[in-house]
Amino acid sequence: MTTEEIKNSLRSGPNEKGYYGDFGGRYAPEILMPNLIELEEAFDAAINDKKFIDEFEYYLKEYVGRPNPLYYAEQLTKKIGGAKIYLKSDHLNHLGAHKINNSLFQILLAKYMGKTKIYCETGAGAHLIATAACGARFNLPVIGYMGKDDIFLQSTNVLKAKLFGAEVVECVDGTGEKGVLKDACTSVLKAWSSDPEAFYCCGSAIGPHPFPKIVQFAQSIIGKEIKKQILEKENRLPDAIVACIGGGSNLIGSIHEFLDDHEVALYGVEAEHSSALTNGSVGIMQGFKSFMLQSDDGSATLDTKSLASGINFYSCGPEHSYLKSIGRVNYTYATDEEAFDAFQLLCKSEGILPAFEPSFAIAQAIKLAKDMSKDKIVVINICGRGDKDIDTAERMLGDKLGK
Amino acid sequence: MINLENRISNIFKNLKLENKKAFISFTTAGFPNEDTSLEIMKSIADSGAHIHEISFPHAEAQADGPIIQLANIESIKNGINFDKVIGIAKEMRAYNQEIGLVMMGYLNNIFIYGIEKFAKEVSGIIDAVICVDLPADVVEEAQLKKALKNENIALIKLITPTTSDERIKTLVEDAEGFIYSVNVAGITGVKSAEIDKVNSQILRIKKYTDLPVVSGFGIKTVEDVKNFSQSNADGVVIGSAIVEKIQEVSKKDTDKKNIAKFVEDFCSELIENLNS
Repeated sequence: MTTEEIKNSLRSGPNEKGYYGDFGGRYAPEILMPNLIELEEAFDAAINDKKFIDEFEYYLKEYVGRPNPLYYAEQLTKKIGGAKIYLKSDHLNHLGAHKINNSLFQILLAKYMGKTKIYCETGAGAHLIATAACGARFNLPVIGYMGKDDIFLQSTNVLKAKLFGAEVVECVDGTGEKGVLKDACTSVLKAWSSDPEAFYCCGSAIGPHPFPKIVQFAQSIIGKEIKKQILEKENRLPDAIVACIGGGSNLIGSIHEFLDDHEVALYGVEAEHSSALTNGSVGIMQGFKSFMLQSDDGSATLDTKSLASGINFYSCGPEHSYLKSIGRVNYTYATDEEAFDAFQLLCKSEGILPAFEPSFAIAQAIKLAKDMSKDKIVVINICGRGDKDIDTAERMLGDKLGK
Repeated sequence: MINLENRISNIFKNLKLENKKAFISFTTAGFPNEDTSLEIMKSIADSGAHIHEISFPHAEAQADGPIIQLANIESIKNGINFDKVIGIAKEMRAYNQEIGLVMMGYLNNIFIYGIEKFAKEVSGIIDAVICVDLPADVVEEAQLKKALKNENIALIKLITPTTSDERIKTLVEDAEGFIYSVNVAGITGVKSAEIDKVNSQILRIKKYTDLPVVSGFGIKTVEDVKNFSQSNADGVVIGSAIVEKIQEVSKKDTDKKNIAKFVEDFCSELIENLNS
């Protein structure tokens, strides 16, 4: 059934003003409004243009390496002793994360619009390297905005982006002392305001309309593949899908196909100290309305912290706030310790090195699977691989790794 | 067009009779601290500024450059909050009944405070509100506009170099108070305004509205203000340049009277050059 055929489909996306229920919208300065409208029109045209979609699908296959496996984690399943655990392998994509699905889509969209320069923001650097790579492939210069602290933590990603020819701009908050993903988000919006002819390639399902919609569209390839693969392997839909969430692009990509399949339970797992959906309140910043961790009067975000830079974000995509408000998705959080344990468990049990980000999802999925019977099925999206995190892992493990 | 009769419309009416332009100053509430920021605003009123924009600071100010951004962060760190900003506005109004007062900032503060509650709280105190991230297509725009209108307060529209004529036409339709013409594509306090482009943009706006049009962003020096005295604008907004002065002087001198006097002198000089 198509979306239109399902009454009250949860997949029909935002309304014409960019709202998912009460959330989302386009809270942008006037300077960006014409750009956002232009982008929305181009997006609508592109996704209805068979040539464009064919090209996207061609490069998803040939460049990104999709479809990636839906892997039955037999060892992990045995160890946990409950539901069957499948891993969606977005860590096996070119450059090792789900981010490239979106970067590829938006770079093709930029090309479709005749744009000649790309801005992007990044947290852990996965979106930066993916955008830089696609920029290199399609001859578009990329300027990436990255927080000072993240540049320090994710230096290999910075190096990769530079090898692909991107320029990396260090971002800090107003004090000039520290900088994380939200500072990169504010900085890139300012850069785009100052250079409105350029294209802004937004890395997560956040920002003013139409960005949440665009990112959801591009990332939904994950869930489409999960659906096809699980039907082939098990001849039925999974009982639960679990993914981590910061901004929420890998989660929305994993679950969007299943929003109307109410028998499938959906889980989003935040990091404990950046759990906007669990502990935040509704606010409006950086162009969208959503749950966020903010000061009492809404003047500032609260400081967030996470082992995983990529989900260390004060808010979340507006569609997630909506899905929380109607109770369709269960949002929880895991602690750094739980995630780190889960990270090691997957390494040891399957020989798979996940990034810290999906380790939060693994931690939650394990708890869930344990209490489910063996005929149940849980799918976890491993949205990135952990190469970028091994230095931190080494520091954390110290002597335990052995000489 | 809605003809809102309030202090601001009278200010422009009177200035027009004298063939003068409005001097609109902007400072950050709570910067360098709560007390001093109020003292500065009082002295700006003494300098003869026609309208003052009281900025309520936001840490993720999307449209502001490094100068205002730093002032925002500092003032938030020093304990300013939206309640206190309203308090500052009230004290300002008690001090001076003539100056037009505008509260300017980002929607989230008003949204969290409560739109209706805010409008009632600032009734009779301020004359206009500028919300940087509140385009016409979001649901709160109509709500805020209505709530403010009930209190005879204007919601100011911004028009930028990227705004098409078609969009201008719709934006000015229900505009009130004045139109804020943003001179440069970008953020506050960085690029310099080019007078030719400024003039053509203002003419573009004036094709569609009789409201006064004020010009802001990129006006930094006495020289700039002199140039603008010959422009098509009905007023100029000086923001980052004043905030930068406050930053400079407050590093050397912490006495609030001295800081305020310094800013007053700077504004007096600008006003003189605007309407000489």
